[in-house]
Amino acid sequence: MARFVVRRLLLLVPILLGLSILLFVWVRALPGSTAQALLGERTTPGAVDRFNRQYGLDRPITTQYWAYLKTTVRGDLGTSVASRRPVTTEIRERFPATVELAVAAMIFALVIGLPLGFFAAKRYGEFFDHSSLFLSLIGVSIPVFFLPIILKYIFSVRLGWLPSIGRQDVLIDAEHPTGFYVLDGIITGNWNAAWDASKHLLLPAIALGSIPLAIIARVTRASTLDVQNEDYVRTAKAKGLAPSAIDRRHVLRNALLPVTTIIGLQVGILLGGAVLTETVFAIPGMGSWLKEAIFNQDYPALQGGILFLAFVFVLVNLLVDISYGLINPQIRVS
Amino acid sequence: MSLAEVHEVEVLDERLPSGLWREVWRRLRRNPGAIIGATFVAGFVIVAIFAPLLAPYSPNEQNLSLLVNGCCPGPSWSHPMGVDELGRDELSRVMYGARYSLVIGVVAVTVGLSLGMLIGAIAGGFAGLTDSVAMRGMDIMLAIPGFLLALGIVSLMGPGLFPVMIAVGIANVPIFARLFRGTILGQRDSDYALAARSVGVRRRKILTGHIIPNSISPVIVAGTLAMATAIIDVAGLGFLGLGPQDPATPEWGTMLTNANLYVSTAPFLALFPGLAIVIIVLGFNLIGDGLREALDPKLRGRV
Amino acid sequence: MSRALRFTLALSAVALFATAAAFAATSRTHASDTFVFGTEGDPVLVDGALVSDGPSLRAVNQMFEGLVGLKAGTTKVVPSLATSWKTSKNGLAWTFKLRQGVKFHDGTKMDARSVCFNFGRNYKLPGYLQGESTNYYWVTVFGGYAKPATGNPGPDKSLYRGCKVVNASTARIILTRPSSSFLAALALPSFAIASPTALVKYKADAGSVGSDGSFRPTGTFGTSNPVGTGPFKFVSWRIGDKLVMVRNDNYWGTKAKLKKLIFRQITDSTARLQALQSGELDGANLLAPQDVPSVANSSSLKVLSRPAFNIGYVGMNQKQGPLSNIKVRQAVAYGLDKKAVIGAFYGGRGQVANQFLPPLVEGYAKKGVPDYSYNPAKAKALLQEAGLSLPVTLEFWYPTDRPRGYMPDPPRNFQAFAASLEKSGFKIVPKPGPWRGGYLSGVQSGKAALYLLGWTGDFGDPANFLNVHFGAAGDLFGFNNPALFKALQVADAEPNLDKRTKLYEAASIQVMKFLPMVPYANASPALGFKKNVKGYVPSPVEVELFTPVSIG
Repeated sequence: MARFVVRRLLLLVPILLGLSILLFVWVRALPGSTAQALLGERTTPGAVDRFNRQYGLDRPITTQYWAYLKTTVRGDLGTSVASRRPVTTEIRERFPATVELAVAAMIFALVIGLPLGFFAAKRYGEFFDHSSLFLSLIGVSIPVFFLPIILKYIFSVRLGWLPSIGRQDVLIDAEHPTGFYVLDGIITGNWNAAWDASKHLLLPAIALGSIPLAIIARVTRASTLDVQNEDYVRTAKAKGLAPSAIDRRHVLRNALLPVTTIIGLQVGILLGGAVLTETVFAIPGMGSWLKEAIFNQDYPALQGGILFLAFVFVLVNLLVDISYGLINPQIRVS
Repeated sequence: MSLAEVHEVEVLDERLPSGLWREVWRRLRRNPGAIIGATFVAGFVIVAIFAPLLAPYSPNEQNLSLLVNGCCPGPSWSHPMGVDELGRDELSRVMYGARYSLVIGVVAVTVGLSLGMLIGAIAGGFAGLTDSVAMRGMDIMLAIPGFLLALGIVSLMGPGLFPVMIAVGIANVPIFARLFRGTILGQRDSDYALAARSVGVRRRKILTGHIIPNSISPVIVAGTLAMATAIIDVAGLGFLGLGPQDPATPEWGTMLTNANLYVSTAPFLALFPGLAIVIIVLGFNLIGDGLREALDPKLRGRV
Repeated sequence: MSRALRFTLALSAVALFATAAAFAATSRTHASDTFVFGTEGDPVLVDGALVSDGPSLRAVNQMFEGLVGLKAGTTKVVPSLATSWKTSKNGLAWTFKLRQGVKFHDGTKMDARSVCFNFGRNYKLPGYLQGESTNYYWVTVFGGYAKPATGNPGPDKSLYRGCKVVNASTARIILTRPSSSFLAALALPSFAIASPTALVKYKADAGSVGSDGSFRPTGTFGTSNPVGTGPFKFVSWRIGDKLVMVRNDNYWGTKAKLKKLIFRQITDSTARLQALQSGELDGANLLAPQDVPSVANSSSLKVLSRPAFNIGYVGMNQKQGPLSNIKVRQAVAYGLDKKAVIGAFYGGRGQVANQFLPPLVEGYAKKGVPDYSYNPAKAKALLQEAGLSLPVTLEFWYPTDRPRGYMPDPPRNFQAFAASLEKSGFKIVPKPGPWRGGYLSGVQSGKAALYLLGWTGDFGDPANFLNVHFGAAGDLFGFNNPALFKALQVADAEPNLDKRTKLYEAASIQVMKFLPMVPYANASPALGFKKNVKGYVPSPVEVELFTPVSIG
């Protein structure tokens, strides 16, 4: 097992290295220059030249890459042009918001998607099955930027039930030891703050979670159908075990295995979708920050932010792989 | 890229002799979902082709005098979907928008499919170092969540309709490459490939003459589903303001962004293009699902 | 009942319960001495010397004060930290009598030494902080540094020569040449007086240059320890979220009515409106014109308007194509349907402008301004007179973001103008770009033939409009007109107010005859408030002070 984990970790190195080269080259190929972005709107070509000389941006590209790699490995991702603060500081402040949103969306997707898929399989071919399949198809067909507009219009503007933007009411004086607002509220015993943060999370989580929900429902349904036809289930049935006991002991447990494998992929969908969801709900997370960075030509932010998110994505998939390997010994051997 | 991405988890490796396509068509016709999907898509194709005949107005005909208090009167008999922020007929714009979405989807998927299949074929066909290098390259691309990758490519090429199509296409490349390589590897070890090799057929010939044609069916399914996600992703980039740079372009994602400024006074401006996206994407998803099922009835309703 | 059905029912019950619970908990009220104001963006820093953007200046203005201030709702200069001032005969020495007994938020005394410390700080800024991107107003108003970094103007270009502590309550600022707009400029929050102790203690100017070449402040003055003399004190600031201030109970003048002031950053104007409507905000900056009626008709909200102290214009670069020909520029002017755009898009909050100066500014010409009302036939005729074959192709640049009061939805203005120009013998090539992501830099480096731009006055002086734009040759308009440059220079140097106004009236007409751009809008930006908000006085320079504001 240890060898499996080590091998997976080693595989990570070339990927991250390749990623750093990709991003480095990408930022240098972007339109407009670092100098222009930093010197601001009213700069002159002469000032740009001087700037480039001053900060070594006219050195050979390999030298620049080596310097970039060294600082990156040290955990220094540069300084945001827009805020003039270290990119790592920005990420530390914004990442919790994105994680909180993604986790909430995932919980929403799992809580609804798993039972939906499971019961659809149990009612294979019946009306419930058909309608849940159709619903899940609609789920993957609604753009993540369209659903929030509708949800906000109904629940915030028309009904006024839920807040339309942000993470927490500005008037709530809450401590934020972790940056995860719901968790913060619970830790500090400020139930009002936790409740308020949850309310702010509800609509964004539904909007972002709709696609993973649909996919999870479909995978669960398919794997439940598979497992139901397995020999051990048939044997259990033949032995006269109660259907609910079979479901619990054999079907559900084995049907959930493939679902874990796709959770890693869902994280990618959630991180990509966060750009749109956070933009619509004005959530100060990684996604809305990256979007702003594109429009501000804030290249250090873009480079650092995407590198960080890709790192997280790769890491999550690694963890999923490893945990899957732990659950399923077959994988380890192959 | 949701469904297509998931699809590669379970690669179809069932061989499908060409005679079976008729059988596939028969199964497809009996699938109500696929028929609904095909109806949606066909409807949009017709609207897209005949937009100039069907649309009551030109999509770019401004009529500033229609505006009241800075924005847009809602649906009426003369403008069934209301008018937009420049007094243009929303229905006509949604109709012309179908053209953009279909072309965008086709181009993006073609780009992703052709590049992906090329890389997948090379990797799967030649194995060894070529395979490793190509697939590690794909791993690096896959390390960036799909939409972010597309976002990065667009900022590289600058915003615009064309860059967006290419970006979404390229973001799909690793998915197709992996899928195609997987099926090819499956085929390579199959009995008929072994048989061909044993009678001395050359490797390249086996690849192009046997393996590739037989690996195509899962790609067709993934391609149809990728049409759906490509339309969504392109609209998403358009929504972020990275799409067509002439704001007069009646592209649905761009229309949604422009509507955002006016959503409190004219929510219908967001509703109609949004619904159009949902319907056409649903159409492609239904067809893709139906196709997969028809290709392998055991897989009904799977991802 | 089938299990699936039961399950679905249970699920919907949970969902219903959740929404009901959420419903019960909304409809909030809060203490009436806290005010939440929705702003269009985050400050960059809360250190006036190092910022030039609206959100930063607005925040700085609550916590800092300058030697002079502006009378609420006007551009009239009034005493602030200085109670009176006089100029020497040659106009070079300005002596300011300071208010006695004023203390900074950190308890230190505000005196002549603090004044000179602050001016000295700007003049002697380290090289990495110099220049227009960080220190815009010092560069534009005083134009030089003691030790300029390469490329920055030195003492020879500086209007500022020095500052002298005459005694504890008297400071003298010495200039290198007379300036009639110097005093008005001092009202800018960028020239506010900060606590020298705090500037040193929190290392306002300290920082390092990162591997990517950007300045990284290591001090905390501009991010979490701003110390001024203003009516509000800094509490906390979370970027992308909120800036919290409390009343300064030791304020020398009339103390603020509010106990707590919160600036909440919401970039998207629709989201800002929704937050106002749902009661999350007490006030919101910059409402979109189409949203104004719904706020005005609401039983709980009201609209306030800023005076139209701005100008929206279509710029023409004379280095681009046929635009060097005055007939072509006139054709553009006649080809723009200004009236239709103002009428349809500004929701009654805009006026068609006929010159670069807004009516509020001294020097606005009441008569004698050439009339360029929409006339496609005349535009075509002018193009033919110029010997061009129709249609004449021109690139038209416009920003895709950053709505402004004078330009509530830039792409919309562009589309309408493009349509009217195409009816007037032009063929328009659209060139959109994000404001910071290439649009402004492209326009300012002279790449755009036609472009959408505008200007909001920084202080109440025609020089801040005309001289800034047409006082010297530049890439933005791409022309060299020595006669016009001279006229504007003479007007600015004129000390007699009446004569100066006359000179500027003539210059304003001269600009419209030369036609480097086509002005089209003076718009009055709208703010939304809860109905029970009192005391908010909208300012023409868009930086309001919250001291007199109260709720209920």
